[in-house]
Amino acid sequence: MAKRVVVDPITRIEGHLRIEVLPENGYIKDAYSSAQMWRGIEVILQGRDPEDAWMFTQRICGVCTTVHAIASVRAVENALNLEVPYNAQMIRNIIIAAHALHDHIVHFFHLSALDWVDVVSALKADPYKTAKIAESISDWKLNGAPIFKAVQEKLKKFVESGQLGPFANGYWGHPAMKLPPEVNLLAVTHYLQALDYQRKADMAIAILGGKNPHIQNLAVGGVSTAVNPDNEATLNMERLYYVKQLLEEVREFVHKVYVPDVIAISAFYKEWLQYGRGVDNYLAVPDLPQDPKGEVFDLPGGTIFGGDLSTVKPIKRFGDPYFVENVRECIAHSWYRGDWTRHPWEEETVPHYTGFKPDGTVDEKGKYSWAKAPRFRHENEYVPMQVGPLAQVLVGYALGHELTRKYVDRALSMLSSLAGVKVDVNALQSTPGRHLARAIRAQVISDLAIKQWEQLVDNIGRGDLEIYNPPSYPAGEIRGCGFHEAPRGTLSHWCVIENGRIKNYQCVVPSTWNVSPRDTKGQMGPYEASLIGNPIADPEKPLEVLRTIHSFDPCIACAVHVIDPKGEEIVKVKVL
Amino acid sequence: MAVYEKKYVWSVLLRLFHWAFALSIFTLIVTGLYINWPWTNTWMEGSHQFTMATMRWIHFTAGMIFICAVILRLYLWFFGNKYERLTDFLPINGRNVKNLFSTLLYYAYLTNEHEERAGHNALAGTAYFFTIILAVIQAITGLYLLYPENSFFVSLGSIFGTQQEARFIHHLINWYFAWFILVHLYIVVWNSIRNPEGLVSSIFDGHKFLHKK
Amino acid sequence: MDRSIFMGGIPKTISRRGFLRACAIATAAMGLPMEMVTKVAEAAENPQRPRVVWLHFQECTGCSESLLRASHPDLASLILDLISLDYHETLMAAAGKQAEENLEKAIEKGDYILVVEGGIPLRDGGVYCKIGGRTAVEILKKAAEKAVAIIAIGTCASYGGVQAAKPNPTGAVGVGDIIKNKPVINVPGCPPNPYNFLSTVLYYLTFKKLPPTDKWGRPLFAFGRKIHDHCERRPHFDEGRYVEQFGDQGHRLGFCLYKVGCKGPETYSNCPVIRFNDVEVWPVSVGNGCYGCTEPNFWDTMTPFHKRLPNVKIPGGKGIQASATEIGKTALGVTAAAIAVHAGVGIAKKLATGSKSEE
Repeated sequence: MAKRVVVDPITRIEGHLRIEVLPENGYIKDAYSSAQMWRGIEVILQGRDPEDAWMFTQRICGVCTTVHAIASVRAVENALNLEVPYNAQMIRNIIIAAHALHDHIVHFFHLSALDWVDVVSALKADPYKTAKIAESISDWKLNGAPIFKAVQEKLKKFVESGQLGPFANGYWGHPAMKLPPEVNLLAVTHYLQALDYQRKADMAIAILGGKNPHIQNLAVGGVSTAVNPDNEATLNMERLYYVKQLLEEVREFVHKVYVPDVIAISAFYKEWLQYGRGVDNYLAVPDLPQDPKGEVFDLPGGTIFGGDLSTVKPIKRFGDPYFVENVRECIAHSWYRGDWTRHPWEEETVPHYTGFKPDGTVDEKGKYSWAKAPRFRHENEYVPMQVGPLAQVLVGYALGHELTRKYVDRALSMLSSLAGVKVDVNALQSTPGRHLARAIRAQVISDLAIKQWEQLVDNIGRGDLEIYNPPSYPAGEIRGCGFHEAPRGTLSHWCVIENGRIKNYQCVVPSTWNVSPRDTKGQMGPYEASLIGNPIADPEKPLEVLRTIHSFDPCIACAVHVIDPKGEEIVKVKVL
Repeated sequence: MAVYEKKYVWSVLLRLFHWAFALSIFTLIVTGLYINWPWTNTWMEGSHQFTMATMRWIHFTAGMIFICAVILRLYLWFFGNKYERLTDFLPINGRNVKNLFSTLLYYAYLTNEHEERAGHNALAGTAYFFTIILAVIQAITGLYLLYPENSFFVSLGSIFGTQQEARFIHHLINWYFAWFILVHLYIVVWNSIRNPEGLVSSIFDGHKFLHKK
Repeated sequence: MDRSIFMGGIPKTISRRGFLRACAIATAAMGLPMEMVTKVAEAAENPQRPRVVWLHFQECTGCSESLLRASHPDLASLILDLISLDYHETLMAAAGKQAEENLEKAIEKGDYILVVEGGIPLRDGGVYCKIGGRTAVEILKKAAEKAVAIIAIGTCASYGGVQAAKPNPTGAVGVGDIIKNKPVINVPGCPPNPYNFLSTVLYYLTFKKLPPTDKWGRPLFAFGRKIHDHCERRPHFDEGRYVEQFGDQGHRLGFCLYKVGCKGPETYSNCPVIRFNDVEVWPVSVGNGCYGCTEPNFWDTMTPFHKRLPNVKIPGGKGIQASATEIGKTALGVTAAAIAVHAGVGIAKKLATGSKSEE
C-alpha cells in the first residue's frame, strides 16, 4: 500500500483543516479534505430575535468579520421582502469592498506568498537589480533600490542581533521554490508594506462601522450609521473624505503592487498553470447592489459548468429562484447523524463524530469531516461547485462585465509577455490562476469602492438621508435566503422565522463549498479534486499541497459554522 | 342591632409607613416607567428641558422615602404593636393557617364565614410579607443601579448579577408593585363594602370596628 | 528602533505585524536546521523580559486580530522590547512538535504571564476543544499552575462568550470559572479594545503588580465606570432628546441612543474615551447603541440588542418570549378584568341574596 501523507493542520489559514493525500510516482493520486471542528451556532440562534442574528453570526469568524453580518441581515430582509434605502446599500457596499481589499491583500502577501517566495534567498539579492525589475512592472512610489537595500539590511541585522523571539521556519530552500533572489526581495519588501495598506482598509471600515473587527452598524432594514452633512456627530464631510482617502490609498496599492506582483510570480511559476484546476463548475452570486431591492448589481453572479465559459447562466437578483431552489447540502461523509441531501431550510444539525480509522487515516466509506457537502442542481444532478474570486472573475468575464474583462485582459497580456507564452483566460483555472483571479477581483473592487463612495456622496447631496426601513414580522412562518459574494466566495445564510423568532438557521459558506468532502455519489469537493495530479517532490515537506490549498484561501472556522477552537495549530506532517 | 367595639389597631408609625410607602410607590412606578421608556417628545429643542434628569431626580428622591418606609416596616415586624408584628399574621400557627384558607374561600364567594380580625387577615399578611421582601430587593437593586461605583452597593447588588440583570429584576418588580396597588385597592374597598371593620378608614385614624363579643 | 525604513523613508511606523513577521522571516532567514532554532531561541532569550504564554481555545481570532491593529505600543515592540512571547499558536511560524515542546518547557520554567483567548468547554468531558489530544481544560489547568499572573483576553476567555449563550451547547465557561486559586484579570470585549489588553500587560510590567479590578475581575482603569458616564451623548439623555428609530431626525442630530437599545447605562467600559482603530470612532459615535459586549452573559442579557431589556421566557411556552413591559401590561389588564368579574359576581350574589344582608 502506498504511503499516505497527512497534513494536519494546514497552517496559515483560519481554522483547522486536515488534508490526507495518496502520492504515487511523485504525483497526488487521491485526496481527502477534512474539517476538524464543530460548535454549532445554529443551536444558539434558535428562538432568538432575527434582528440579532447578524451579531451572533459575525462571531463565527474574526478574520472574515463583516461578511456573516451582511449575509445575515440580507437573509432576514429577504424573508420580510424588506427594501434597504440607497444610502444604506452604499454604506454596506463600501464596507464590503474595503473588507474584500483587506482580506485579499492579507491573504496573498501574509498567508500564501510564503509558499512561493523563499525569504532566505532574499538575503542574496542585489537591491539595484531588484529595483530594475520593480520598475519594469510597476511605477509604485515605494519601489527603489534604497528601500530594498534597507529591508535587506534590516533582515541581516535581525539575524545578527539574535533577537529572534520564538519564531521557527517553514519550507525554506525547498526544491519547488523558483524565484530569483531579486524577486524574493521584492516580494518580502511588499509583504512588509502590505501590512500598512491592509490596515488602511480596516480604518475605512471602522469609520462607517464603529469598530473593526466586528462592525456594529447594521440593522435589518438598513444601517445605523447616521448620515447628515450638517451635523458634527454623524457621517459628514470630514468622515466621508477620510474614507475616500483611505480607499484611494488602498486602491493605488492594489493596482501598483498587488496585481503586478501576482502576475510576476505567476510568470515564474508558469508550469503551475496546469495544476490545481479541480472542480470546474463555478458559482458566484452578484454583489454590490445598486438599488433598494437588489435587482441591479455592480458585480455580476452566475454559474459555469464544466469550465466552459459559454455555459454561463446569470443569477440576477436577491432571492433569485435559480440560486435559492438549487442549493442542497449532503452529509453522507460528514460527522452528522443521517445520510441525507437537503435544502438548507429543511436541514437539521445533529453532530455524530466517528473519528478516524485506528491507523489514523480517513475511512473512505464512512464519515470524515465536520464540513457538510454543499451541492448545486444541474441537469437533475447535484454537482459540487467551486466558489471564490476565480468563480466570480470567470462569471464576470463570461457575462461581459466591463471592468472584469478590462483587468483580466490586461493581466493576461502582461502575464503572457513576462512568461513568454500565450496565456488565455482558461489558464486562470489553476492554482496560480486563483491567486491572479483574486488580485483581479481586488482591482475591480478597488475601483468599484470609489464608485460606491461617489454614489453615496451624490445621493446625500440630493438631500436623501434615509438609512433604515423598520422591519415588522408577520405571524406564521416565513423563509429567507441572503447571499453575499464574500472574499472567499459565495456565502448564503438561510433562515426560517416563525412568529418573529428564528426557527431554523443555516449558513452555507464559501469554504464549505470548497472544503466539502465527498457526497452520496462519491463526487469529490474542490479541494480534493484540485490536488489530484499535483506534483509532490518531497512527501516530508508537501509544499505543493499547501500551495494548492492556500490558493483557495480556506477559512475553516467559517466552513463548519464554528467559533474556532483552534485544534492543533501546529504543522504535523505524518507519513504513514 | 349589632354592637361594635372601636379598637386602636394601627399605630402612628405604621400609618406613616403606609402612606410613605403608598405615595413613594406610586411616584416610583410612574417615574420608573418613564425612565425605562421616555415617551415625551424627544426632538424638542430651543426650550428649557431637563426631562430625564428631572424624572430621575424624582425617582431617586421617592426611592429614598421608599427605603425609609421599608426600614420602618421591618422594624415594626419585630417591635411594633401586637397587630403589626410578623407573628400576628404569618400562617405559622393553626389559627392563621385556617384563616388563610377561609379567607381564600371567602374571597372566592364560596363561603360567607368571615373571621373578623383586628390586624391583617392571614392572606393579606402573607401577601404584605412578600411585598416587603420584594421591596427590599427593589431597594438593593435600585441602590446598585444608582451607585455603580460604590463597592458596598456593588457587592450587595451583584447578588442579583450584572447591572443589566439587576435592572431587569428591578423592572419586573416595578410591574409587581403596579399590580399590587390595583389588587390591594380593590380588595380593601370590597372588604369595606361587605364588612364592618372599616378597613379604609383604619389606615387614616388607626381604628377598626369589630362586633362586640 | 527605527521602523520608518520599510516605508521608504516616509516617517511612518511600520505595522506591528510587520515586525512580527520580520522576526519570523529573520529566523527563517538563518536557514538553520530545527535543532539549531531551539539553540538560537535560547541564546536570544533575554532574562530581563518577562515571559508570556498565550493559549487559544474556543475563539474566532477576533481578539488577536484586534491586537494587530494597535499602534502604541505596537505588538512588535511589545513582543520584542517588553515581553518574551514563548508560546502563541497563531504567531509562531510553525514547528509542530517543537511548538508543543516550547509549551512544555515554558510551563516547566514557570514564572510567566499566562494569556488565554477563547472560552473553555466543559460538557462531555471537554471533548469539544482538544489540542494535541488534550482537552482545553486540562491544558489550562496545567499552564495556570506555574503562572505568576493570568490574563483572559476577550469576553469568551473572561466569561464564556458567544458559545456560552443559551443553551450553551458545549458548556463553555471563562478562565475564572476554572482557575480559582489565582487572580485572573479579565479584559472583556468582543473583541476587546487592544489598548485595554496592552495596558494591563504594561501595568504589570511597569508597576510589578496587577491592576485593581472590579467585581468581575476587570481592571478599574478600563472598566471602572459605565460607558454612560463618559458618553458624548449623555447630555442628550439628561435633556430627554432621543433617537426613536435609526435614520430619524434625532438620529441625524446625534441624539441619545437609549431608546434604540443602547446598553451604555449598564455596561462598564472605556469605549467612549479610548475609541477604536485610531480613527476616533466607537459604535455610539457612528449612530449605533452600545451592545454591552464587556459584560458577563451579554449575549443573553443584552439581547434583543435594539431593545432596552431582555425578553422574559414564558415557562412551558415552547420558547415563546415576550418583553417585560408587554407582560407587565398584560398582567395588569388580566387582573383588571378579573377584578371586574369578581366585583360582578359579588354584585350578582348580593342582588340574589339581597334581603339577607339587609339585616
